[in-house]
Amino acid sequence: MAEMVTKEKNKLSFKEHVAAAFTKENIAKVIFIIFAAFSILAVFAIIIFMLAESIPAFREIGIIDFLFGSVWNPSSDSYGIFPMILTSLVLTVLSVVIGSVLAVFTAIFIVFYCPKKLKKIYTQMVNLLAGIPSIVYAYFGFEMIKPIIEDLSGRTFGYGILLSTIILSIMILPTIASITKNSLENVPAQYYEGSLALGNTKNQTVFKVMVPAAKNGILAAIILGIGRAVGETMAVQFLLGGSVVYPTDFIISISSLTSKIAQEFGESSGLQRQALIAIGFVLLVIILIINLALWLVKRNNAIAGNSVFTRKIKESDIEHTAPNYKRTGTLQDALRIVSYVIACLVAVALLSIVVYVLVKGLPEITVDNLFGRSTNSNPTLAPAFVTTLYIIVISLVIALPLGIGAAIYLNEYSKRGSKFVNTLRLFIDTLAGVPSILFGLFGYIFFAKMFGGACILAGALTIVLMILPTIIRSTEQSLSEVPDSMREASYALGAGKLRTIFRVVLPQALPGIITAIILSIGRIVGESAALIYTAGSNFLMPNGVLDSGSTFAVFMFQLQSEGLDTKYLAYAAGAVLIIIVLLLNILIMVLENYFKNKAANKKGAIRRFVDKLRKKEVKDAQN
Amino acid sequence: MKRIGKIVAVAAACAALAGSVAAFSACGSGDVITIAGSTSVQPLMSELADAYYEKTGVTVKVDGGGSGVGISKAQDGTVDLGMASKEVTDKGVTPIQIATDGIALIVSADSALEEVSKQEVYDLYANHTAIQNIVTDAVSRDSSSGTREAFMELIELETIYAGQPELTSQDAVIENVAASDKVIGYCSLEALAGNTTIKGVSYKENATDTAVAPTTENVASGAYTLARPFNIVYNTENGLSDLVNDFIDFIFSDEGAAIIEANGQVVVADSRS
Repeated sequence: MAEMVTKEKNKLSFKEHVAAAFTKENIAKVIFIIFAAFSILAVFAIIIFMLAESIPAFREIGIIDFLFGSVWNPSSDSYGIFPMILTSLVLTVLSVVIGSVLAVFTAIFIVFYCPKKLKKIYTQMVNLLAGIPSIVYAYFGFEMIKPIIEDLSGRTFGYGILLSTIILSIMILPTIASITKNSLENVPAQYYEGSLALGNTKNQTVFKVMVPAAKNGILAAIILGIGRAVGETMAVQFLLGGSVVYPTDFIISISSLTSKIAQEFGESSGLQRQALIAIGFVLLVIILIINLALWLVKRNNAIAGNSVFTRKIKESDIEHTAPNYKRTGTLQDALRIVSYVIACLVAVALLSIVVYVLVKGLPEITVDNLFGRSTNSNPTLAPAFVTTLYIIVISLVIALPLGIGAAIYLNEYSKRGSKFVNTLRLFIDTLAGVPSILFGLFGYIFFAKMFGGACILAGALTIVLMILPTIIRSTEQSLSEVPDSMREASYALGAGKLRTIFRVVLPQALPGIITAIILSIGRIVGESAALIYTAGSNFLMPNGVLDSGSTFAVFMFQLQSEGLDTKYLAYAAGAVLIIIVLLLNILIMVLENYFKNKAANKKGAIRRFVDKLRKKEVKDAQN
Repeated sequence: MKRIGKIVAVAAACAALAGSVAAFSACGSGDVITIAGSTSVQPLMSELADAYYEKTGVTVKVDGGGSGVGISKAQDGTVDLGMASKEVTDKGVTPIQIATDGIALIVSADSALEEVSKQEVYDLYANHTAIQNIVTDAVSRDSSSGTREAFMELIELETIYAGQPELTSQDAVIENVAASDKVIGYCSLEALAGNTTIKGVSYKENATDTAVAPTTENVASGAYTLARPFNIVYNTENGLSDLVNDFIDFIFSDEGAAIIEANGQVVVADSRS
C-alpha cells in the first residue's frame, strides 16, 4: 500500500516535471537554440555536399593530377588546376596589397583628417562603393579600363591580372576601410591626447600612435579582404580573359579558380561539371583556412586600452586639429598628404563608376524597356522586377525569424564566452565569409536538384544562407545596446523572460533589424553568382515560385551572352541597380537619423522631467 | 489602438506586395514547351518560340546551357526538346536537324584581310603564326561552346595557343575583334547581318581554291564549308507529344522557314518520318 502511494507520488512528480519542462519559456529557449544552431548545420551541409559532389572528379582525375596538373582541356578530359591556383594567389596578393594600402589611408583620412562636414558624406560614399554589384564593376572594367590598358601597353588584349587587380582592389577597399575605421575610432582618446601632450605633432600621433594601436583590427580587416578577393567571381570572369596558363605576365589572358567555374559551369555536364564543383571545393577549403586565421586574430583582439582608458575617439568631442609645435616628423607629414591623395582617388573612382553607369543606362530606361512584355528574343526588365521581388520577400520571410531567433539566443540566453557560443560565432562568421559562387554551387547541388531544376524558390533558399549572418550580427548588435536596466525593470514588474524579450527588448532593437533588412535587400539585388545556377536565367515572366527567373544582376550577366543584340538592356539594368543601391543607402541614412533623434528626444524627455523635479525641490525648499 | 493601426498597415503592405507579384505573374499560363541547350541555336529558337506564342498562345520557354546540357536534359526528360549545334550521336535521344548555320571568320571592318585558307587559320590558332602579316592574334570561345567545338573540328584543331582569350559569349568575341584590326575571331554567320564594326572573311579549304564569301547562299549551295547543323533532340523513349510535334510542324512550315532565313540560317528539309 505504502509502496503504491510513493509510486503515485513519483508519477505525479514526473508529470509535473514534464509539465515544467514544457513551459512556454523552455520551448521558446529550445527554438532559439535551434535557430542559432542552424548556421552550424548550414556550414556543414555546404562542406559535405560539395565534398560528396567532387569525390567522383577527384577519383576519376586523381587528386595529384587535379591539383598540380597544368592542362585544362575538357574535350580531352584533362583537368589540371595548378595554373588557376597560382593565378588566384597572385591576383589575391596583388589586389589585397593595393586595396589595403588604399583602404587604410582612406580610413585614416575619414577618422583624422576629413573636415567634419565632409565626414558623413565621405563615409556614405565608401558605403555606396561597397553596395555596387560586382557585375557593374565587371562592365566598368571591361568597357572603361581595358581599352586604357590596351592603349598604354600596346598589347592587342588588355585582359589579365593587371586589369583584374585594378578593379578588385577598388572592390575590396570598402570592406577593409570600414573595419579599419571602426578600430581606429575605438582606440582610447587618451592615447591621442597623451601623445599630443608629449609634444608630438598631429601627424606623428596619427601614424606612430593611433595606427599601431589599431593594428589588430586592421589585420582582421585585411584578412576579411583576402576572403573577398579570393572569392570574387563575376568581375574577374569578365576581366581575366579565360585561358588556362601560368601567371607569367600581367597582361595575358588567364583564368582564376572562380572565373573558371563561372565561365564553364553553366554549359557543362558530366565529368567537366564534377571537376568544376571540385574547384569549388578547393576554393571552400581555402576560404575555411582564411576564416580560421581571421578567427585566431580576432580571438586575441585585445583592442588597445583597458578599463581606465575607455573614452573612444568616436565618442570624444576633441577637436582633431592640434597645432604643430615644431617642424618634425616629415615622414608622417608626407603620409598625411598621401592619405589626402588616396581619399581623392577613391572619390574619383566611385564617381566615375556611378557616372559611367548612369550615362550609359539612363537613356535606356524607358517604360517599354522596364515594363513591356518580355519575350525570348525581345526581353524587357519586367520579369527582373518580379523575380527580384519574389526572392527578396521569400528569403526575408525565412531568414528574418531564423536570424532574429539566433540573435536572441546569442544575446539573451547564452552564457558569454561559453564554448558553444564561441563555436556558434565561428560558424556564423564562416558562413559570412563563404563567397557567393560557392553558395551558387551548393544551391545548385542541393536546392535546385531538390526542386528538379533551377527555380525562384531554390534561389531564395540559397539567398537565405547568404543573408543570415548579416541579420544575426546586426540584430545582435542592437540587442546588446538595449540597457540591462530595462530588462530588470520588466522582470520587476512581473513579466517573464519571453514577454520581456518580445515586449521590451525586441522593440528597442528595431533599428538594427531594419538596418539588417535593408542591407540584405542590397545584397540580394546585387547578387549574380549565387542566383544564376539556382534561380535560372530565363528572360520570360516567371510563372510562380517553382518557375525560373532572373534578377537584374543575373539579367546583366545573361544579356552578355550569345547572339542577342540586347546590350542596351544591360545598361538599363545597371542603372536600375545603381539607383536601387543609392536609394537603399539614403534610406539607411534617413532611418539612422530618425532613430537617433527619437533616442535623443527620449533622453530630452527624461532631462526635462529631472529638471522639473529639481525645480519642484527648489520650490519646496524655498517654501 | 496604435498597435492595431500598425498591424493593419503591415497587412496592407503585404497584401499590396503579394497583389503586385500575382498581377505581374498572371500573364502567361496554360500549355508550356520547355527547350534548353546550345546558346548558338538559342536566338533562332527564341524567335521561333515567340512567333509560335503569338500564333497559338502556347508558351515556349527557351533556356541556354550549351549543346551538352541540351542533350543531357533531353536524355533525362527534364526538357521537351534539347538544342545542339553539332552532330548528335548520343544514346537515348533522336536528333532532328532544323537548319544549317555557317560559321564566319570575322575581322574588324577596316582590316585589310579579305581571304584566308584553312592552313593559315590553323597556323594562327594552333601556333600563333600571323596571317598574311595582317592578323597577329586570335580570340576563341570557352571550352564548353558548341561553336568552338564545331570550329575546331572543321579546322582540325586539337589545341589552341596558350594565352589566347577564351570568351564566354559571342558579343565579347565581336567586341574584341571590332576593337583591333589585328584580331580574328569566329562566330555564327547571322551575327554579320547589320553589324558594321566587323566583316566576314572569305574562306578556302586549300591554298589553290578560290575563296568563298560567307553568305547564306554559299552555305546552302555547300560552297562555303565552315558550316554545322542546328539540331533539336528529343527523348527517343518518350517520343514527341502532340503539343511538341505541332511546334516542330511550325518550324518546318513556310512561316518557320521565313524566320530561319531572316535569322541568317539555311532552311533544311523535314527529316521526320
